[in-house]
Amino acid sequence: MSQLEKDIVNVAIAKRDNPLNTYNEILTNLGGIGKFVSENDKIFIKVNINSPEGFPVNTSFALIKSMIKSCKKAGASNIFLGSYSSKGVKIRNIDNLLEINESINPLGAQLLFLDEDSEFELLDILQNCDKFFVVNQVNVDPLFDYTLSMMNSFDINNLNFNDPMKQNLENDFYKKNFVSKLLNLFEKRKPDLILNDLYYLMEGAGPYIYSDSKLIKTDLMVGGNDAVAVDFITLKLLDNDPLENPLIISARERNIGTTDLNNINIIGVDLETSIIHINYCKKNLEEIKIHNCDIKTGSTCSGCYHMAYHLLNTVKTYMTKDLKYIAGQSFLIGKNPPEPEIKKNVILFGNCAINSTKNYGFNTLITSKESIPLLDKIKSIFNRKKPNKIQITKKRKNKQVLQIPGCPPTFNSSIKLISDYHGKQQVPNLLLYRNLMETYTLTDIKKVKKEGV
Amino acid sequence: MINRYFKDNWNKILKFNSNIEIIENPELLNEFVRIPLTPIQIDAFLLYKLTELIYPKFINAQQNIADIILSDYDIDNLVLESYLYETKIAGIHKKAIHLQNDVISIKKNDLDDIENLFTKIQDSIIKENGIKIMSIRIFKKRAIDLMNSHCENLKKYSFNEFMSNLLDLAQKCIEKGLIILYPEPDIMRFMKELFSIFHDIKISRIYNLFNNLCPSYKHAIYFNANDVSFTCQIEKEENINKVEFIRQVLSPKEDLDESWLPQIKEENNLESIISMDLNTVISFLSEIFEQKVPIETNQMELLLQKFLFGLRSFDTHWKMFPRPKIYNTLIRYLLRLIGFNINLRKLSHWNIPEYAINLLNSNIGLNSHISLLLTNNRNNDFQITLLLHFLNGSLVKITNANNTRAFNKNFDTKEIHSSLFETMDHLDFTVKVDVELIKEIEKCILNMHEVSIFKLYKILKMAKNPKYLDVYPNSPAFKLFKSKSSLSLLKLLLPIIIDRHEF
Repeated sequence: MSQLEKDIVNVAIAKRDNPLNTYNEILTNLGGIGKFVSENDKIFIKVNINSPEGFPVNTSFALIKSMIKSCKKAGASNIFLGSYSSKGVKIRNIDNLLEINESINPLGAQLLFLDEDSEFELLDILQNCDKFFVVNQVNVDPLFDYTLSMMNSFDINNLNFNDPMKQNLENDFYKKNFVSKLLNLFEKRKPDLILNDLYYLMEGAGPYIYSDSKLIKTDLMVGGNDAVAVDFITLKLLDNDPLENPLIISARERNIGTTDLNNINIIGVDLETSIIHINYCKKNLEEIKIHNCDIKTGSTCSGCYHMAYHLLNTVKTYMTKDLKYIAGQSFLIGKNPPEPEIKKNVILFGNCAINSTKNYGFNTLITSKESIPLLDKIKSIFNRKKPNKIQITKKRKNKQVLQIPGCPPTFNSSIKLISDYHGKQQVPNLLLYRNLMETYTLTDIKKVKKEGV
Repeated sequence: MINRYFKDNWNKILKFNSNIEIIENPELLNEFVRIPLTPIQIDAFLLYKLTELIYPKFINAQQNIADIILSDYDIDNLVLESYLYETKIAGIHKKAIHLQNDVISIKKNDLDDIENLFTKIQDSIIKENGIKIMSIRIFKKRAIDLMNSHCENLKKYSFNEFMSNLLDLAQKCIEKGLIILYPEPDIMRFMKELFSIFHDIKISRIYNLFNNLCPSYKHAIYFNANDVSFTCQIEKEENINKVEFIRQVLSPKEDLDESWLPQIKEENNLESIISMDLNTVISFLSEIFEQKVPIETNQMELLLQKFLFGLRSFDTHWKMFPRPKIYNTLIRYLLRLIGFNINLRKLSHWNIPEYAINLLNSNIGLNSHISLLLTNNRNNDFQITLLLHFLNGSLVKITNANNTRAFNKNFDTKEIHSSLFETMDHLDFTVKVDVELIKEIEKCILNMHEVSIFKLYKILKMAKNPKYLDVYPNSPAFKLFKSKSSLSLLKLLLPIIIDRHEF
């Protein structure tokens, strides 16, 4: 094989009448599952299990089931599934609710709880398995435009910023760290088979289900053995310039994967004629229109932007009645946001907003009234003259300000703080949402030792 | 070609309609006819008035119509019979003019372009009879045969048999395109799309199932419209249903007077009577029929908002006698004292649909397959097993879940789900509901005047028992529902359902 042929990677695009036929066509185009699975292989499949919501927040279970079955058929001995969750929900809690293990165990697979492990343990799993597959659900994402297969391999919540010095806008470590950790992992173990499932794709708002979210049917899936190339082609299919995507840019800089269209051999459906147009997430937080809510943003780091995006969409989706009761609130996000128009219910989201608005006018309430000093009143009785009124101005601290600290603040604590601040009488809808959230966030987590890989 | 029983009744209707203009007080005529295709006897004047009101809204508001019967075989001219009705008032058929066979000629291919065919027929009739028709009804011979056999059995059918047969007839005719109306009314398109959701399921089966679960009742709905008022009396006693339409001879002003309701209730020995404006009902129904099925979530939200607004408008848009206990001020006050605000006049019609749909979407997902099992614990039997497919929050498909292995006298939701999951490509949840719970809910709806917070509490408690309601795997909403006590659940939900202020 010449060097040129070696550099060419195959990426399959399939378009069929149902998701399972599309998946099968991808495998056929790539040479069949036998090309990827050998007898007695231990396989680790990375999927999306983000929260106990339905599809497309999580990877389609029909697709997972098909992949497990095809791996088993090809002779795989052990199949492990793994995912990181988000919004602070443990995978074990999601499993307790959705009974994923109960469903996949009879098929010969097991779900691992990656979020209970350290990064090194994940590496251990990846390096000890014979094959590493990624089955990724593509949805719109506020930070990277789409949830790409490369993002699937790392937990965005695992980014810890213990050093406050590092948390500044200039460095914007949240996104950079995420990209860098992802690519570090990729350098150590590249997946052997990658599948981007965009047969059904969430547009408008995502990757969780919000009121602006809508599922569209594209009939498409993209697969291959080079994650960067698969994501590159996926972005092309979604009419997005891959060379503007931070993940692809970093991969290109570090020479990971194929980012040159000339070196990608597309098998199956024609790329140019299959391009689809999608409604992106609202890029500007101020564009998220929420009833009775004024959103002001300053310079926002990617972490705060990411969390604020989810918080604002949650407010929009689950606080319909509450927003009428509250009758006006302002969200200030990022460094030096503009002064809010009304001084009541000011929510400062994140450390940047809290620190940079200390001297803002909304922090103090100024009340003034005309009054006559007592001495003047007495004098006026004897003088029979009308006393002069004087203007008395009082300054007091505005108590209708809620600070949500953190960079970025966590989603769950933000919901709790907002619901506690307004009180249960004011926010009945949010109270129910909070109760629902607690069904999967408060369960005791007992770390169970894994077996297998 | 047309069944005699049907034809005689139809001719009677035509005769009454043609006489109505020449008789001084037609409302005083005590003439009865059957509603076409049903065994239900109705005052002919009431039927005239209802047709005048309903036909233009639901079918066609234009004058003059042609009925064409087509052969099922591919012959040179498919037309077997054709009739022309000159209708000065839309829907009021007076005289059928039999058209000669050579007036209209239709070939099989003509049916592919119905718009063009209509223009052709319209031109032919103008030329022959000088009447411009504005709509056509095409019946294939198979539809006539089905209708004939339905009409033949009307005399011996019980009410339930008649209803099942009528629903089957409608489903078959619409699904198989045996009846074509042009211009196609919204109701026809709506039904066509609705039946396509019900894939391989007979609507009559679902009707029979819910009807059999209903307790005995005798209620009436008193409708008043512009110049007609009538009572629709519905009754079920020992599995025998009865529907009766009684024209009320009251002046429109009196119609709104609540004092009539106790009198009608007493005279007919009813359990309860509801009074509402027919025009409001018609306009709500026509809004439903305007929707494209599957109904999109934002449209569904609007419809639900309107329905809930109607429900909360007690005493303004509708009245009930006896007055529902739940509206009793003293009872409400006492409940308020112990922390339950249950004022249905402040039902949060604007909030509930959006919030509920958002919660449903996040819990089941935007593309989910749910198996719904209706069990009968007493008989150790499955009443019905369905597969529901939801897409973007809308129900897009309902099919039969025929898996004898999974349903083999096994009532364990988890085991059933596992068996189904093994054999099916896609299954997210299995929901098991027992008929006893449905019976309780139906009882609650039918005896609305007696509904109290204790009855709601009883239903909630029942629903928390896995014997009556179970979901596998748990969704966060169902887990919360199970984990909270019925009282704290009511305390959590009532502030969402009921508004604090009027908006």
